[in-house]
Amino acid sequence: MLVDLHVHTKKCKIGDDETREVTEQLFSSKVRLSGVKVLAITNHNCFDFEQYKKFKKCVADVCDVWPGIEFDVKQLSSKSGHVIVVVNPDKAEDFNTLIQDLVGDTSADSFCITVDDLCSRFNKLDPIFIAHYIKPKSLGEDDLELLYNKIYNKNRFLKEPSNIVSIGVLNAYDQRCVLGSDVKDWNIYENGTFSDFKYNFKNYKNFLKLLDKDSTYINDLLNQGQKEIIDVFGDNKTKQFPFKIPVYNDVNIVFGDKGSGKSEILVSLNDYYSSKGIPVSFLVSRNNESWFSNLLLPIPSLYFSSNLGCKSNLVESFVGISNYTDPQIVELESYKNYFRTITKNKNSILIKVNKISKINSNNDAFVRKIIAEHESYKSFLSSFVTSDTYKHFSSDDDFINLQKHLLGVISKSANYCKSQWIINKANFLVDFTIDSINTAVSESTGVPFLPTETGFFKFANERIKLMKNVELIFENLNRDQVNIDSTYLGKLGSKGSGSVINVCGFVNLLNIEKIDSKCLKQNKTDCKEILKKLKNVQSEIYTKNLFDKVSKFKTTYDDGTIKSLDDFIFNKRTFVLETHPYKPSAGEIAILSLEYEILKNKTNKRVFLFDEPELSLGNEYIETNIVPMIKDLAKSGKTIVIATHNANIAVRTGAVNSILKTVNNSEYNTFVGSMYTNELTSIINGEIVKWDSESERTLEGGEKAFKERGYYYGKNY
Amino acid sequence: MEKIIDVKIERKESEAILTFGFEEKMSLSLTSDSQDELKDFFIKLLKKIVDNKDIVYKLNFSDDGQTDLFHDVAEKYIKNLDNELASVYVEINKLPR
Repeated sequence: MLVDLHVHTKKCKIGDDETREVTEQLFSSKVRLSGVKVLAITNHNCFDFEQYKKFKKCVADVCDVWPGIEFDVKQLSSKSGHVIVVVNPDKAEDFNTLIQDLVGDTSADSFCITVDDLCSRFNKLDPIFIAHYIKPKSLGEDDLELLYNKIYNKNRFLKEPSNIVSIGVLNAYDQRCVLGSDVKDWNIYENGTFSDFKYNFKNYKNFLKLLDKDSTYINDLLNQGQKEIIDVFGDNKTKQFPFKIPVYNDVNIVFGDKGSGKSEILVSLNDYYSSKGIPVSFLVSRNNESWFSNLLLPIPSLYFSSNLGCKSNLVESFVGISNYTDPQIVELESYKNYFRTITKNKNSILIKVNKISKINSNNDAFVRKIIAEHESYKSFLSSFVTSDTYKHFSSDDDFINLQKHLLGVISKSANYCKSQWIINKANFLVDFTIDSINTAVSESTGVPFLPTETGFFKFANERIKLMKNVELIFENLNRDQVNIDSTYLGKLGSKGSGSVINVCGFVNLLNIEKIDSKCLKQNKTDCKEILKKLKNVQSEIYTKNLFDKVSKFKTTYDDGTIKSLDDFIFNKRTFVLETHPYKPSAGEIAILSLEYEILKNKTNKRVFLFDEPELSLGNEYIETNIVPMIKDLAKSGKTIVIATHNANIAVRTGAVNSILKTVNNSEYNTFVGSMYTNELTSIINGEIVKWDSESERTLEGGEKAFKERGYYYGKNY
Repeated sequence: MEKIIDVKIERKESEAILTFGFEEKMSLSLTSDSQDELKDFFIKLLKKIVDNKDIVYKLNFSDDGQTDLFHDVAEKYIKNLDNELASVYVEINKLPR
């Protein structure tokens, strides 16, 4: 619920911006746009009752407007500071009378009120006092102390620091704060900073109850939330003594002594939700390093040559190389035998058909291909004719003409197939005839037949095929690596966005030494060995040493596990900042893990368990990034349970439920309650402890740490 | 339908030609060394087979009673060619109609 208790609607002082003046129309539209549900008009030393009534009315359907004023205050200190007074809207008329009486004709620039007057004159109007703190126009320290001591109800004294970081620290130290817009330009009012309250208080009276920590009221509010009582374990690891804790459908904090069993509660909750099939995100920050390492873990078994754009894994090429043998060469002896005996038979000299050169042309594959293509044309035409395609034609004639045309194309295709088949088969029968007659002559005469070919063609052809197989394998292995995907992890501030780039590629002779063994699908030495032997085959392809190289390749190939291109795959996952590889620090890994887990799971997980999310993170980052993310999750209806030692997380996430774990001399205790009631009750013996003192004791080193951080942020903001 | 085609040897001096008894005469010279002639013969033969798919031609060597080398070679060759044509018919059935 957005609340703005510091709103200017008029230029009252000389130094005020002109753009603080706002018309009723602009006020109405900007308040609606901002989403603010409660605002207080607090002009400098001025209250315009008529404007207040008009403005209150024009936004009454979306926002409650309370009367107020921003005074210049000075009594003990040397210079004045600003204090906002907001009063009960039911008493706006009395407030107006009081202000007119107090300020009279004094200009806003010169009016100043004392602390005594401030504390005595407004008491009947149920006032809330908000002092500027750690920001320009802060009240002097003496006057601040005086105001705090004299105020009628200390719960109704708030501070307004400069920004959200300060507010987190101050709230954690029980110095309650609110943020106001202090609007300077109504044209951009919706961009202002507002207080975001956990609970929707319906009116001023309920707001006072909240400030007074009225436990009945707060418990009523708490009980409006969805709550489940769950058996968990936390006192020991044997899981023998379960106890019940409430878990709200909101932010729940588990804090307390070290070693008291906070993490065990989260483990129990994870088991509980998982067993019920409820999707859980469980982030254990002390495991961040291993989380990050796992993200970078290569999984080469997931990828294949097709991921790199290869049409085939070329297993046939590997087998072809492994099984390669040179075709038979015709020996000169065959020619000698023929010519030695040829003259014995006259007719054998006359028969010449067996001496024709063979064609040696086999186009079977081509013929099969064109026949298959023809069949696909036919099936297209068939589906074309039988479908409703004709509906799209303006006339039947057009449709029939197109059919005729397509039939003509198919007829030509059929004729082409036949003619190519005939030529191919005729070539075969020519060679068949030469061989057949040669054999017949040889059998009938006893004359060895004249070799019809030297065998060189086949020999050269097979070696060229072998060379092509080797080259095809190397060409594919030399392909560029491919970016499979990129996983966005989160932003590391001004350094840029961090992602994990997932690439896969082939290892080859050029890159294999640079690639880590764990990135490879197969054993690196085996890959190197087969690549080396393949290279040897390639270099000896036109020499007489080829068979020796092929034989060595065959031994390695047949005995090994590398069988195709798929076995040369490597997979590499690299963390990059924008586009450059980067090694994130432990703190940066913590940032990434949180952002990634929350962003990744916010739509599909119902429960979020965080175990010490603050580990390795600075308070500023927690305040400005983690706290808002957790609050957003809570707003979207998720159940969030956070085990933490960090005050900012415990307080600023607006946790509705706190679980305190204590251990003293092996005596475990569990308290449940809320920071809003400031009470935690033991589920074992009913003992009640204060939330603020326990949080001070257990969260980030206690009081000293809070004070130090308050000083630090105050100095810097 | 099966049709028997008689194949005879014609001898002319130093020539020996195999003639195939189709309606139009087709011949293959055993004494020619022309690859083109041989290829033309088979193109013509295959075209005939493809164009008359319903007819299965069987080759039959007509024995002229001579016992020379031409006779022996032609007899063996025609027998082999007839066997080869049987496998051609299997392929023809896969051709587009």
